Order: sequence, then structure tokens, then C-alpha cells
Amino acid sequence: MRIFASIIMFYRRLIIPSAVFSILIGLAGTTVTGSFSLKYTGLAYLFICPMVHYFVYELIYAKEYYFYYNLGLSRGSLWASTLIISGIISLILILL
Amino acid sequence: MGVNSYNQWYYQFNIDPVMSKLHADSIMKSYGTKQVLTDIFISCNTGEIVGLLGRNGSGKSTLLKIIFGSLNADTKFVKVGSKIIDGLFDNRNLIHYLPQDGFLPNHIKIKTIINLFCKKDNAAIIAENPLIKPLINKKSKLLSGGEKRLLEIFLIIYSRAKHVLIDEPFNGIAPFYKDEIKRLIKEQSKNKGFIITDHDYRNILDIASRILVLHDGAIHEIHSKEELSYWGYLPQILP
Repeated sequence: MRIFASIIMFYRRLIIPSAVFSILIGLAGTTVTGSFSLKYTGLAYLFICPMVHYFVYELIYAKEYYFYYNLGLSRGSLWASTLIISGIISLILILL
Repeated sequence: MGVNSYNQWYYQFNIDPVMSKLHADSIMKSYGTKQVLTDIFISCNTGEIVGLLGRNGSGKSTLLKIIFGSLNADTKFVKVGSKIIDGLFDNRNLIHYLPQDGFLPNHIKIKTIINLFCKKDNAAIIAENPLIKPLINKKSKLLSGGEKRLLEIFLIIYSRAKHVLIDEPFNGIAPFYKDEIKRLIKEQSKNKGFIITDHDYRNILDIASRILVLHDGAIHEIHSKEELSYWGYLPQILP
């Protein structure tokens, strides 16, 4: 339970910037497709969220990794959680 | 302290010193051609405060990170009690580490961080501490550098871990709070083992039950202040 709460806490920081950039890409897509597509927004989210992860945690707040290390989460497992959660969110958006 | 009184002291706190002993050996680490750590052995019992001293660049932080598991070594063997620690997941309730640069996530409320890091009873102790109480509903990005460091030290001292590795706890802390930190470390050492490194060596000497010096990649146990000069940590005292 504590591990799950830690992952959610870690991921929370990625949601808003990833969502904003994905929606912007979705909106930009309307110029090509003529209408807003959740499918493309979902696909954009899948690629943007790991980029936000890299930018936020690897470049800006790298020292915060130690907080999660102390809770038993390695860098690899945090990256895996980002990919899995982003994949689930993308899939939901694509299937909507 | 005799063997019997030593055992009585541990049993009084329901602690088996052997079952929870931190043991690290065969630690070797090199950066390029420079060998920083050469076959290091270090141990820490529950109830012990081990002071680790050494010059800048001697490898103190590297050693703590290797024991913790966040940095790969060329070779290492770490265990707590009979449990062999092979990665961060293995040590999640056994070894905690506070790096010198801090680790607080600044997008989360202090109250949430405390509850996640500590058991209920210890979380309540931190939350009620007069130094921490005014900060409890803030996010850590609103805290000053000193307040952040103080909170991190409280978190790590009261954490769930059986052994705590602290890198420069007194750095950036006002003298007024240093005594409180030393008191808390001594108090909590009844429940866990501490390995502490700091350049403010007088504070380390005040609380440590054992002092080690890291010199030329090797560890030496010292028994007098003169030995700090011998191992090149303090300048030689001229006659």
C-alpha cells in the first residue's frame, strides 16, 4: 500500500504538464483532421509523459529520487511505473 | 559495559543486536583509474552511533550510497541480520539514507510526507514537535533551506529503518537546533543503528560510540583525537 501511494505521489507531478502538452498536440491535430481526436491526444500522452519524467526527475529534481529510494523504489521501477501508468491512461483515451 | 549488562540493555528494548546488525564488507569502488574504496569493511549494531570522518573526496558519501544501494560498487556484500541486501527494494525497511543535498519532494504536503515515511506513532511525534508543527500543512517548496534540512533529519531519525545513514546532518543547521538533533539521535539509537558523517567533527565526537576515519580508501578505527591528526583528518599539532 505504501509503495502504491509512493508511486501515485511520484506520478502526480507528471500528469498536468503531460496532459497540457498532449491536449495542445491534439488541438494542433484538428488543423489536419478537422476535429479534436482523443485517439491522437492519447497517443501523444504516451510519448510526452516519459519525456516530462525525464525533464522533471532526471534534469530538474534528480535529488528527489532519494526520497523514493528510501521507500524501496529504484530508478528503474519508477521509470517502469511511469511507462505503465502512461500506457493505461493512453489506452483509455484511445478507446474512448 | 560488561557483556551481561550489554545484553540486558538490548533485551530491555526487545532488540536482538545480532539479528539486526548491519554488516558491509568487500566494498571496492573505483572511478576510472582512481581506486576510491579498497576492500572496505564496516558494521553497525542497533544501539550504536558510528561516526565516519574523512577529508573531502575521501569517499564517505560514496561508501554510504553503496551501502544504501543507490550506487553500484565494483564489489560489495551488505546484509542486515541474516538478510542479504541486493537492491533498494530489499532494504526498504532496513536501511535509510539521507543525502547531503536533501531529498524532499516539493510538490507534496509535509503531513503526507511524514505519514508515508514513518510509522503512525513516530509520525505523531514529529507532527507534534514544536519545530515541525507550524510547517505541517505547507508544501516543502515553501520551507527555507534550514527548515527543509531539519524536517529531513526528523524524518530519517524517526523512519521505519533499523539502520540510518546520514550524510552531513549538521550542514546548514543553526547551532540552537544541533543540540536537539544530537539528543534525538542518541534517544533513537536505542531502536536503531546510525552511521553519520559530517565535517563538523566535534558534533560527531559528542554523540558517536565509535569513530572511523576513511583515509586512502581504507577505514581505520580511532580511539583518540590525536589519531585524527595521524590519519591526516586534522592538521598536525606542532610542539
